[in-house]
Amino acid sequence: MNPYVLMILISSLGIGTTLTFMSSHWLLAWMGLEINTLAIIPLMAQQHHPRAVEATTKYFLTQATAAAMILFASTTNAWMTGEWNIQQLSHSPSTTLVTFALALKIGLAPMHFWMPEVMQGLDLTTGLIMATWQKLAPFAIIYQISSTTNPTLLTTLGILSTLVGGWGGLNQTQLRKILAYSSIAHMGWMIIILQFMPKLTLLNLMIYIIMTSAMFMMFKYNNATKINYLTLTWSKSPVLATLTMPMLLSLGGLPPLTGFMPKWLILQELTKQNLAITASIMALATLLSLFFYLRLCYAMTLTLSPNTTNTSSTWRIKSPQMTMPLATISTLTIMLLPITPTIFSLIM
Amino acid sequence: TAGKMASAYLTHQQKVLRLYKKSLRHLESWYIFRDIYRFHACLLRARFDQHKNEKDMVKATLLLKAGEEEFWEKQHPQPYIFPDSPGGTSYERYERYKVPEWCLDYWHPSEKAMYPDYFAKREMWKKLRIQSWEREIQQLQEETPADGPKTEVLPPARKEGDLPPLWWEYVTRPRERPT
Amino acid sequence: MHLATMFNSNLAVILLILATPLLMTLTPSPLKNWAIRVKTAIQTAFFASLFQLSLFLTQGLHTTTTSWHWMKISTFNISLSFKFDFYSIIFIPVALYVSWSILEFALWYMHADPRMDQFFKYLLVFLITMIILVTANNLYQLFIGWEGVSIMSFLLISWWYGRADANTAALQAVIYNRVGDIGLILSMTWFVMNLNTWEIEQTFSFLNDTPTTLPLLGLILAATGKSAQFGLHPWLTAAMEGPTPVSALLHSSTMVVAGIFLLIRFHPLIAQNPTALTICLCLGALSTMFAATCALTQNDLKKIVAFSTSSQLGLMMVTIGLNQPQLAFLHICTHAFFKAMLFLCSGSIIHDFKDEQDIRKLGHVHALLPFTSACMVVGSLALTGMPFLSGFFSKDAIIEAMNTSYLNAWALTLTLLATSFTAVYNFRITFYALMNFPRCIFLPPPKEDYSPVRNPIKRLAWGSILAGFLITLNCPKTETPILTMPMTLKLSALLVTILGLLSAMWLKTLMNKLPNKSPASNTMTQKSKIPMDNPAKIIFNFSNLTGYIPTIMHRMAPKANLTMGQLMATQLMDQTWLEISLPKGITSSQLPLTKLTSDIPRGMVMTYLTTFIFTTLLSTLLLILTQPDLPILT
Repeated sequence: MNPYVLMILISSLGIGTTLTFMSSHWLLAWMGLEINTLAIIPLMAQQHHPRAVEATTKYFLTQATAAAMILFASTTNAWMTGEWNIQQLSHSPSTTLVTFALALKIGLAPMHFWMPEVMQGLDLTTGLIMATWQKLAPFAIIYQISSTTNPTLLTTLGILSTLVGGWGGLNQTQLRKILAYSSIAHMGWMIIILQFMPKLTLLNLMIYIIMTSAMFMMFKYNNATKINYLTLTWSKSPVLATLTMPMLLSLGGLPPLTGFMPKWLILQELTKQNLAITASIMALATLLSLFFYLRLCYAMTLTLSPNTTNTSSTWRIKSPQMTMPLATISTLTIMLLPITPTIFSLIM
Repeated sequence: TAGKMASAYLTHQQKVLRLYKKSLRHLESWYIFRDIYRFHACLLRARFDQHKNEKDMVKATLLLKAGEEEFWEKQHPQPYIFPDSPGGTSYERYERYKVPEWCLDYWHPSEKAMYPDYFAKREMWKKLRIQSWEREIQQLQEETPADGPKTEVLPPARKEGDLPPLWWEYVTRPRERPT
Repeated sequence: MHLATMFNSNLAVILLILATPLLMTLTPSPLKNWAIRVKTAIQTAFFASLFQLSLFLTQGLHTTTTSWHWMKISTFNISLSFKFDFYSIIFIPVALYVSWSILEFALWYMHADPRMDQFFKYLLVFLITMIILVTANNLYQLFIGWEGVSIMSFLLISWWYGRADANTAALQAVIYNRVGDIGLILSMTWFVMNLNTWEIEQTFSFLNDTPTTLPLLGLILAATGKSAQFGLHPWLTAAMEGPTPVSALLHSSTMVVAGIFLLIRFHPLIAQNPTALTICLCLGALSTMFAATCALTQNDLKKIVAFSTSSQLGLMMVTIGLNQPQLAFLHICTHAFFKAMLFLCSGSIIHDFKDEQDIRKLGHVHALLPFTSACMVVGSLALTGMPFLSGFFSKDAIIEAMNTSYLNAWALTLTLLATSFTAVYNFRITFYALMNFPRCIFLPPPKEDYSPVRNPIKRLAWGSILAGFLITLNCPKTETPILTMPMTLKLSALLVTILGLLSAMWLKTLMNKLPNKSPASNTMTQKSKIPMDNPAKIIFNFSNLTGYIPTIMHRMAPKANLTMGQLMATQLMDQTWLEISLPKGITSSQLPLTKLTSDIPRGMVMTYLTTFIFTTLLSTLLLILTQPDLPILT
């Protein structure tokens, strides 16, 4: 791809999201989303093989549908209430429509089907953008409409996503799909707390982005796309292989790692709201996710594949990739829990 | 009762003898006075003797079975047990006073000096044991049939003036009761 | 005031004398003849105790209590308090007298034991804890004595610890006593929580306004354990695994009466509570009857005497139930003498017959050991309540009190029957062991001429003859006894005893004639070898196997328990929870959902959009339906 084009696309990608961030008008926010989508499409399709194109098409169709639905709902709202402000979404059918449209955009169950398949068609860098940056713009809107959305709807979406994220990941051997399902499960956690404490949604999103970036970078570093590739990571970079286990456990939400922080706060908040049963279901559903994270740990650090693998074990030569971001972000993934009070007071 | 475990390996004769013996013991437990007991013991003996020459093994086995059943029916709930037999009132009572024989080897020389005769003999035994060990074991192995020993009883000494096999097991042993 | 000081100092002297041999063991060089010193210490202590006894009797004192402050737990006081009343002042000399005799006997009986000094030390510690128990006026102090005797009894029963049976018996004693302790601890807790005191005297002052059934039930349970009443009785006969002096001291004259003694101490509480009285009466009657029944067919010399102890303890319990604690106490004291003597005589026989204690193998002892036999007969007669021997004074009074009361006729009948059985089993010992021709394998040379054999038995024989009379003479009467009653009632105790004796003698002649009656047939299928019909055999087996209770409680119950434990461990825990429910259950419940989740998206864009449209429509529809007044198009 021509570097100029690439630069334009990447800056559009940034500008689209930023536009959504700064807008309080539905039309402008919609425009931001559209710019963002249009910018990522060529990026996704830059490898000209059928899987990428297929993924791009699927992504385009779903995002377009969602954007159209957002446009339709906001127009209806303006029509009914004469109000274009995002935070003034007081017409409840419109609210429901917007909620579903945004759910489709970020891939909440039962609108999640595109997510693993699109992810599977992308390379790891684009996958990283998909799993992180692309979530920001929709969440900017979700955060703003959080006060008017239907609580039952959000709880249903949240629980369903966490469960589907767990169940879907159990049956996978493809790392990108596993990360997609992990993303779905995390989205469920973010949505469930939205009605009670939207700040926690943002906190969870932030931590999720850190953790999932670390995972993508790690996979990228090892060129791993399947579980059985992971069994040989130790030969390439043993320290990273060792670090990956706490990273995965952090993703699963085990103390004393970073991933425990949002789960802890969310469970605490749910319990405070007298939703002990919801909290229990969420916690138990996370066990499903934990299972496949543990399986990755097992494959990676505890076993050596007993059979001959398709991959050749790599020489321990210095990788040309940048390791500084990976080092930083994996440290953050593992060790943020002690500064929970600081983070908590920063976002509050 | 002792034969319960081995009953599959006993001959018919052994089974009958054991039945007779335990019947006598239980009879003795029932009839306390010796004269009455003798009378009944004679009757019992007569009942056993009546079928002494039974040649038909089927009949003999049936008789044995009937005898065992009758014994079971008529056994004494609290049969007499000799005090030092298993289950008796002083069985194992003095067990804790028995010091293993090898402890004597660890006596202090000054203590040993108090019993010069015994320890002199003891040294002789030990020497003799080391000398005869190989020969004893070899002989025992030669005498044992290929399919294992027929009995637990060790053979007696083979020659005049010779030692019985594994004599050191019983030539010196701890006191049964404390003094 | 100075009297109380004298009692206290006297007790201090007694305890000091008893403790001296123990303190002497602290010297680095071991002392020679330590066992004899223990015996001498106890002897001296006995004479010292006579001082306070005579003081008590001459001064006509009722009771003296001394209380020193010991410790304080927030508002709860624990004091060191001693009670000197009729019970403790009489019991201490009796216990010391009996122990003195028994220890002297043990000098001969245990002379071959390499650890004789340790044996005597155990007995001495036991005696000290027993004195702590009887003088205690405080439940905490009493508890120390109570547990002390239990521990010493455990150590002494398992004296021959090389024997598996001795260890089993010791464990039985400990476990049954711990069951009883549950009751004592329950009562102690109740007293602390409700009355805020452990002083026995003080608990009586709350009599009227507090329901006391619960603590009394606890105390009765404690007494049941310690005094081997029905239900918790098997340990007492099993305890005969200990050496004979142990059986004589612990399991007949001192420790086992501690339970009855506890109830006597708490009598003012029990007397106010009809439920507790009835329970004592019925429990005691059942115990005495059951133990007497079991004693009828036993063949072990010591077991018969042990069962008779058990039966007499039941009788004491009946007396508590009759609201006659003084009579119960009197029976404790007289019983201590003749029961200790019976055991010493048995010990003498057993020792001379080389550990043979089955009465089927004894016989003719009266010629071999005439002195022992004579004393044994005296003891048996005292036990059966022969007039003007010591047993008579307590036993006859108890039966009389029972006959003139208007209480439970069932309990009364059982007790009378048990009394008649006393004659039967005592006759049985005398007949089989002492009379007739010898049946043992060898005839031992008579060895009863040693003074440590003769003197203790002789002293106890004097006690068996005179103690009842002496104690009754000096016993202050608190209740007026019934003075007139029909002739038959007055003589009933004697009558049933004589009846029992006659039936026993008749049974013996029957036994002797039986062989002539049974047809001497010599076919294998003939079934009349044993002179017993079926019902008789059932009763015989019941009695001989002590009511099948050891089998049920020591074999079937643990077996059921272990079987259940095994089932729980293997089937419930391992197979169900750890196998089927958790790993397999989770797998089988999650697998379909996992498959479903990964099967739905088949890579079709149609699926994405369809689910989106349908979910959105459905939710909007639901929203509209649940909120009918929603402005949609207005």
